[in-house]
Order: sequence, then C-alpha cells, then structure tokens
Amino acid sequence: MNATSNLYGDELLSAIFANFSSPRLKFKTTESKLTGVFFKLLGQPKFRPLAKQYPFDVDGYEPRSKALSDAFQSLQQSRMIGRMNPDLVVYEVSEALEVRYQKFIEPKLKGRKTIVKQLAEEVEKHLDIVKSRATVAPGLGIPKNVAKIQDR
Amino acid sequence: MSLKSKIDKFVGLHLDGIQFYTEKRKYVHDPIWGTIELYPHECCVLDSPLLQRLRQIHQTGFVYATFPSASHTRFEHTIGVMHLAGKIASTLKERHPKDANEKTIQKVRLAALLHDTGHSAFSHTSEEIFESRKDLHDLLKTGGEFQGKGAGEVLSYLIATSQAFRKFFRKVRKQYPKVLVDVNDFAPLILGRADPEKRFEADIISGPVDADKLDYFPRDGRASGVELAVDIERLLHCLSIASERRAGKNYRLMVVSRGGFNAIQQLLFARATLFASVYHHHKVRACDCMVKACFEHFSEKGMKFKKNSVYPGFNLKSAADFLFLTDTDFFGEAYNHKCGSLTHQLIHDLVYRRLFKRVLTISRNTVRDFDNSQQKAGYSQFFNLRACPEAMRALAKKIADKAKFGGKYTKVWLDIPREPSFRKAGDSMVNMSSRTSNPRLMKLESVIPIAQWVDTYQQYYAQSFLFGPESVAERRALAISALKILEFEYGLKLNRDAIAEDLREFISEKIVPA
Repeated sequence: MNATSNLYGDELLSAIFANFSSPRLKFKTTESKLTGVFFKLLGQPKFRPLAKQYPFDVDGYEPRSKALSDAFQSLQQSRMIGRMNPDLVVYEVSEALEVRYQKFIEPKLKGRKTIVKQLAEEVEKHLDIVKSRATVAPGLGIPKNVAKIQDR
Repeated sequence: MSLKSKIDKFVGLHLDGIQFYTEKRKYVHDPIWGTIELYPHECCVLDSPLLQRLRQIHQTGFVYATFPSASHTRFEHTIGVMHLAGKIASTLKERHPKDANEKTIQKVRLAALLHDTGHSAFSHTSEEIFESRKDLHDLLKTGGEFQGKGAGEVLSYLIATSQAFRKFFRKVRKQYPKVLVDVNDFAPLILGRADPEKRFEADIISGPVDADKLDYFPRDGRASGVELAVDIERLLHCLSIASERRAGKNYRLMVVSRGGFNAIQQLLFARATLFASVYHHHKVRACDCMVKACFEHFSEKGMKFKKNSVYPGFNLKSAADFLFLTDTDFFGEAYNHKCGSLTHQLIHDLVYRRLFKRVLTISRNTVRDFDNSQQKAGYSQFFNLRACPEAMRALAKKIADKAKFGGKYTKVWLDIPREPSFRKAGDSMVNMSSRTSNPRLMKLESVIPIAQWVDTYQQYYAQSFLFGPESVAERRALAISALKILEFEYGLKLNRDAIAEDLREFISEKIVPA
C-alpha cells in the first residue's frame, strides 16, 4: 500500500490550503495556473510521495490533471473555498475548511504532516496572494470555532 | 495475458474476414448534419463489426429511460464527429494551406471514426466501472503509460494501435492507394497527442472546442427534447490556426476569433443544461446504480458474463473484457439466468423500468444550516467520497446494515455524481486581433470568464442520492439509518427536503425537524 493510499485528492488539496501561512487567505488564480503550479512542484523529488494523487496528462499545450481539477471543483462545490465576483478568479479559504482539516484530515496525515506543510509553503509562494483587511482578528491565530474544536 | 494482448484478440475477432467491396463513396443522412459523405476506405472501417457494435451502445446510457426519445447510439455520434472533424479540417485547410492539407482531413476523420471504439455497455456507466480494473488503472495512474488520460479514450487508442487493426489498415491502404495516412498518423490524436507544429490536429479531436463536443451537444439535446441553441456554423467560421511559443516549442494551435465568443458561450450553457437536467437526472443515476449492482453481483458470485456457445464468458476482471459487452449483450444476459434469480430480476427491472427509488437527496440545499462551518465541513468530507467508489459503496453497505437489511446490499446505493469541469473550454485560445495573419492570442478565461460563470452555475445543481428498493418500509428504515450514520460520521444534519417525498409522512419531526 502506498503512503497516500487513503488520502483522497480533495483531502490533500484541503490540507494544503489549511496549511497556508494565515487562515482565510485570499489568492488569485485560475484552474490552469493552479495545475501548472502543482505540476511543477510535484515533479520535485521531495514531493514525489504526494504526486500519486494527481496524475498529469502532459500531451497538451500545458499539463492537465483531471484528479486535481475534480478536487478543486469539489472544494468549491462544498464551499470550502469561495470565489469572488465578478471575475471569479479570487478564491478565499473558508473557516469551514479549517474545521474540516482539523476534524477529518489532519488525523489521516500521520507521518505526512511535514511534507504537506512544505508543499503548502511552496504552493503559497507560487500563488498571487490578495492582500485585504484581515477576516480574522489580528493576533488571533485561528478562527473562534476552530479553537473550540481544539478545546474539546 | 496483458491488456494489450487481450485488446488485440478482441480487435482480431471483430475484423476477421472483412471484405473490401466498395469503390464508391457512400452518403448517410443524419438528423443533425444532413447528408454526410463517406469515402470508400472509411466505409470499410465503418462497416466492420468493430464499429458496427457501436449501434448496440446507447450514446447517453440510460437517459432514454427518462427521456424516451434519447435512444440514439454511439454509432451515429461517431459518424457525426467524423463529419465535423473533416469540416473543421477543411475550413483550416482553406485558411492555412501550409499547415492543413488533404492528409490532415484524412487523419482527423479516421481518428474521429475510431475515437469511441473503446466504449462498452451504456457508455460512461460502464466506463466508471472498468476504469478501476487493475490492468487499465495501472496505465492511467501517475507514472503509467497513459497517466491522466480518460479510460475510454485509452481503450480506443489501444484498439487503433493493436496489431490486428494495423494489419487490417495495411490492407485498406493497399486496396485504396488514395489513403495517405497510417495508424501512427491518426491514432495519437484520439489521446490528444500531436507534434507541437501539428497541435491543431489534436485540438480538432480532443481539445477545448473539439468535434466530439460539437456533435454531442446538439445530438443529445435534440434526442432528449431539451432545446439548446448552439450556433456551430458560426463557430466553424471563426476557427483558424496561430502560433504560440511555450517551453521553447512553437505550437500551431487551433484558435477561435472574437466572433466565436457567443457560440462558445452557447456551447458552455448547453453543456451545463444537459448535465443538470439530463445526464444527472435522478432516474438516470438510479439506472446507473442498477447496472453497477448487476456487475457487483457477478463479481461477488464469480460468475461470467456472455457465457454461451460462441464465447467462454468474461469475468470482467480486465478492462478488455468490457469491450465484449454492448447494451444488447447486457440485456440478453437475463436469459442466461433462471427466472427469479437476482441477475434475471435486476436486468428485467431495468428493461421494464422498475427502478431503484430515492431515499435521500444530499445537497447544499438539504443540509440543515449549511452556513454553519461544522455542517459545511461535514458535507465536504462526505462529498469527498466520490473520489473513491469503494469507500462510497462501503458507506452504503453500512447504512443497509444499520437498517437491518441482513446483508442484502444489492438495492442500496449511494451515488455522488462527478460534476463536469468547464476548465477546458476556458483554455480555448482566442485571437483578439481582427486579423488571422497577425494574431494576438489570449486564453478565453482571461478575456471573459464564461467558463468560471458556468462552473459556478453548475455547482448549484450538484446533488447526491441514496437509492433503495421500492418498499416504503424498507426505504424508511434506510432513511433513518442514513440520517444517523451521516450525523455520527460527518456531523452532517439534513433537513426534511432531503427525504424522498413519499417517505416524509412516515418520518417524524422528532427525527428530522421541519
């Protein structure tokens, strides 16, 4: 059984977004740009253990991954990340994604936390971060409801 | 035996003893495109059992069970795609004679003829099953020979490149010296593979605005009775070839001029409409689950499909086994089993439209207090199951166990359909200049976010289902069991709209508040 056999594509993507440097981060991207970022990063030897999640079709003008596309769609569908009008290219990581990560995904990561965190750092570097007024009170590391979960 | 050898055997059996009888062109009358011309060498391919079997495969699976006139097949779609691919290539040849020529037209028409040969019974319904068969899955996963490709297109490619088909096509070329192309010229186009300077050829067969999509939107819409307006003629007039450098390579791409924006927009909305109202209709999904139930039953019992005086039977462990199945074979299988047996009953229930019934509908509209982060998180984790059919099946079985079904899982199915992605359309390259000689290329999505809009619109329609048997008592038990399990495992609380209408009066407001 491979190291990521029980971690699904949208769980890995959630874990990456949840490990961004600040919660509720806003970033500007398109699906093709995001695919390009993942293609580049997952090609690096240190991230290869996670590459199985997203097989890339490299025959076209640019790489595509149906698995990554499905995962990205899935997170939008369930409102884990939101898109802002009218251009629909600015995404915001939701509070609910933090909840989902802590409740369901983090326990599944086990020994893979470090590599996921490293990948999240790299992905963040490649994204166009949108600076706006903080949606989380300054100084408060994580949203209130996430803190409640940790307390339990 | 490897997958490739098995496919070679399949192709050999379906091309054996073909006669090259015609020297004349043939004309086919098509309800969408009118008169379609076929060249003699194309007639040889089309008349072979390899292509004729597509007459026995419904284009849209079980859509006809809900939209009665949607009984069209992969065969007529194939002819339509061939016609359109040739038409696009002719348009490009006229505008860019240095890029596209007679060979281009032959290549794309042959690739189009073969692009759906990898389909099995009920088209995409069986594709969802055979894509997970180990021999094919190994080729599709990261590091595999066809990583990231679609299961059906890989099987079609393997058919076109099999030894048996190559041998057959050598004979075709010998018989018809006007044929300028060989298998290696057109087969890669099925996978969207082409040299950078001939990239437009792959775009015609497998691109953002390819002949396949241009045929199936109007065909499926017309057949299902859903009015769709797509100005394909206009779009064809707006196609050209332009250069784009990427990673040190010069790509010659098929691009759309600004005049084609409206047609692309129509195309995207047509696709969203078809998915929301036709392909993902709950009755269509119920039929898909019944087919899966049948295949699951066969595999659990170690039985063989199509075991008769001609075939030894197929255990369906290899993706190649599915190529021997068409819709007709599937329905005919009922008569290989005793009346009253589960297989006979399941197949006849499909034939006579005694379908599984809805127990629950799970969507953002049926989750209680969806704005609550805990609920959203639970919904997302549940929705994530669609990436793993085995986990989805395990949850359905767990629900059946809690409802005391005594291990009878056949009629209990959870279905989380995959939503279509519109990204590919957003990737269409558009020429913002009014001239084709001096193009200014941009991606459609950076000019106007049509694909993103349609994507967002589509997300409102996504819903998952729990299906069960007809009995109200059994479905009530399933509903109560599912509500408890979803709350326990995902913290997910559903509202009364989630419960099938005919069950609501039997489930008290204490269990699910109004």
